[in-house]
Amino acid sequence: MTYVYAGPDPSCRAYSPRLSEKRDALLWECSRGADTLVLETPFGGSATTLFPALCAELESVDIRKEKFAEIRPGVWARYVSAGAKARMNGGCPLHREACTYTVLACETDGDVCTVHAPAENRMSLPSLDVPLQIHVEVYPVTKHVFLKPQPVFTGFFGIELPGPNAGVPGDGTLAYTVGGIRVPVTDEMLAQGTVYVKSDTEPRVISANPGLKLN
Amino acid sequence: MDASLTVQSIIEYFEEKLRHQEGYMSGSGSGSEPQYPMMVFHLGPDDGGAMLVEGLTRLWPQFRQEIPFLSAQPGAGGAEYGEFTLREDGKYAVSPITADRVTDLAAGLSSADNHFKSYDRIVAYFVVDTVGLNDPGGFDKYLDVVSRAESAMGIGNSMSMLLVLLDESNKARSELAKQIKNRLAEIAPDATYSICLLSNRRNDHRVAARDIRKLATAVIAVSNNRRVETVQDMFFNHRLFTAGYAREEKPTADICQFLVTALINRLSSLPPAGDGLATAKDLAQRLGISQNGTIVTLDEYARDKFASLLPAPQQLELFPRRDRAEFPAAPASMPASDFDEWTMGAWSAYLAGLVAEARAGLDLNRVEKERIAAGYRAYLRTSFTAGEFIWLSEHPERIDACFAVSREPIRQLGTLEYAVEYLKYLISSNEELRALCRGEVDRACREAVEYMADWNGLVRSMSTLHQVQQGDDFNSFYNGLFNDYYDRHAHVIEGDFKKTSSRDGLRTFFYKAVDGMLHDDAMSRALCASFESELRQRLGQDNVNNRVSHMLDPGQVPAYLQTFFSLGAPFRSFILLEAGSLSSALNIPAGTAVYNTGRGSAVEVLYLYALNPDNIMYGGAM
Repeated sequence: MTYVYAGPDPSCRAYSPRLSEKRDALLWECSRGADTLVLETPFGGSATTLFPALCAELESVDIRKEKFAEIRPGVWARYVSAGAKARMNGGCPLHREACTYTVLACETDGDVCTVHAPAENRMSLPSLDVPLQIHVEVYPVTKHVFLKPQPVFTGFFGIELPGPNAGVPGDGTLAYTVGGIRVPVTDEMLAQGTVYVKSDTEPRVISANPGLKLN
Repeated sequence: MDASLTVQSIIEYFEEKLRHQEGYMSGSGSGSEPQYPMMVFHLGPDDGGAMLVEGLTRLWPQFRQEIPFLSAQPGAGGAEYGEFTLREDGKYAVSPITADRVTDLAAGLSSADNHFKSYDRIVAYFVVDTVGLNDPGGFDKYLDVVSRAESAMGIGNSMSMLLVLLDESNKARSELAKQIKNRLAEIAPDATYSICLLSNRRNDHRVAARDIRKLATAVIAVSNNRRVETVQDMFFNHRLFTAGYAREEKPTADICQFLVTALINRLSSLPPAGDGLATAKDLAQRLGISQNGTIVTLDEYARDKFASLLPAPQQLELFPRRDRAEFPAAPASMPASDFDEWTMGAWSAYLAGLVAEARAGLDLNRVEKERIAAGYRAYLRTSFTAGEFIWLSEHPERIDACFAVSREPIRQLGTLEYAVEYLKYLISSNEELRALCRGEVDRACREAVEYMADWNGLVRSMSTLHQVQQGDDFNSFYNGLFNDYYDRHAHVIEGDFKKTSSRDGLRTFFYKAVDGMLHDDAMSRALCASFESELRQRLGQDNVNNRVSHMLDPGQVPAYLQTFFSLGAPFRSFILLEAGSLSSALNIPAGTAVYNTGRGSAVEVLYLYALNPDNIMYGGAM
């Protein structure tokens, strides 16, 4: 399939992406009969700036398998035909959170798929930032010592991470800093739930993704 | 390298360095000094003027800032002026100046800051080099420029001398010279300046283009000294004169040629050998490739650039653990795989971050890539001889086999050691950098092939040299000197030579070898000896005197002008040398003045002959 990036077409447009009530699917408006290219990009970025270079990369990946496919690091895409969209009553299931989704209308003629740029209209934006709120707790581990009224610091801090199914990638997006180093959080650590750091100073958990919000 | 290396170019380098060093060691500025403030105007091609300026500043270095050396040429408005200034490369070049600046310079000659002996006169020399002239009209323009320059000086108490350098190197030039002589014969009786006429065709029929400027320098030197009668003679009593000139100097060029050819001959007997590599088991090691396949220069780069990013051993304690338990051993000494397991993959992820940073750095920095290439190039040159490179160029498969190895470090190494090794592996397994280094081997091989061609060319170029004809005493003396030096330094010289494997390297090697001779105490003492000492070293004092005394007979010394009639006896005779043992040992005839040059590099004699204008007049007028 060849992809061509074309200018806006009032008769073929997709716009106003939003989350479903359960926040697990993407809904959007679309011209009658138009297909949609759903793009997932790093949080806060603009998918349209990736075009037209992205067209050539789309050609080498099958994006019509009813699931998101990775086009390049951090950029995923899914082709949703007009028929498939109609069948998705609850919307297109989210691939993940802490990212930005963009919907672009497209039409396929034979072996050529024309992707239309969104119209410049503030009332019908093509993109939606989907943040992910997670809870991370860092606390000093203490113990009770005989005859001491107050608990005593053990020299360890506990870091309570969100579980493995919280949608947090274990690729170092989340990390903690302590004593001048930055230690990435791995899948194994997420699976562990709570990990311990031996330190006199409290580790600080940070996120490299502005869409991954800590509370 | 811009041009192939020849034995001539090495000799020239040696000669230049030796003359420079002689300049420091043969005394300076302690000879006779100019009596009156003076200015020198050069009319003609600037390169000839530069030679004259060099000669005079060598004689009077202490007056370099006090004697204006100017260029004056016909041009817009009658005359254009320039000032000879010393450039950073040690050569003189002309910078344009105005006529007003000429006036200022002339006025500045009487400054109380100057160091001339008397200030009641100002002397102006106009050296007219006719070599660039094509028609007699051009000479008249020069005479006009002389008048304008005298006016520009604006000084009332000046004495002027016109030194005319004739070019009679061939028939056509001789015809032009005849017409210039006729013109001079016409103007001499009424000229406001004295005229010294010098030709490059001597009265012994030989053409001496180079010496004519040395002669002009000598005429200027002796005409401005404290002997008032000489000054009177040269500026007023003999308005038209010429000179006879001879010079004995240290055979510096021959000494350099002898030593350079001796060095090349010695080195020619060291055949380059590369066949030993065929059975070498340490080829990879000599290529700077470790057992894991990392490359020495890239290892250094990895250490310099990224090792500082690794955590300190105590920081490893800050990695996460599953429970509140101590690591089973100090983290830095734990096997990397164990530490990674204890830290739930955090160590691997941390290292991956460094790796990504390293990769990004490699992608970005072209300057560093060039630095890496230069470092590896330098390593290779110390590791193989030219012969070995040539052998390698014929066996690229052996090089490829060494470069093909690339192994990840084993994870049983200690945590930090593994990290260092892993970074090295990462850098060395980068295809682009590996290809860069492999390319450097090819380049070194190519350069070695060129080098061998250059070396053979250099040896061949010795056949273009004229043989040194200084006699057996010369050969014997310098042969002994060279052999003694070489035997003392053979290890270093031959070691450096064997490591030379490129054209540039060959030039550098010879320059270094030459510098080495000049820096060696014994060698340098002999090489930088004055003219007299050098001769005495070889011949003994009596022979030194014999070598020079023949010049004390004016009949044995060529005059730098062919005339119709005999020149008769000189009206002034000079011997120019460094005052010392030679001048006292020589039987200098009465009436020959000794001019102390303060430098022991040469002995010159100068005989001045008065000319009757009729004696230079040819049939036909200009």
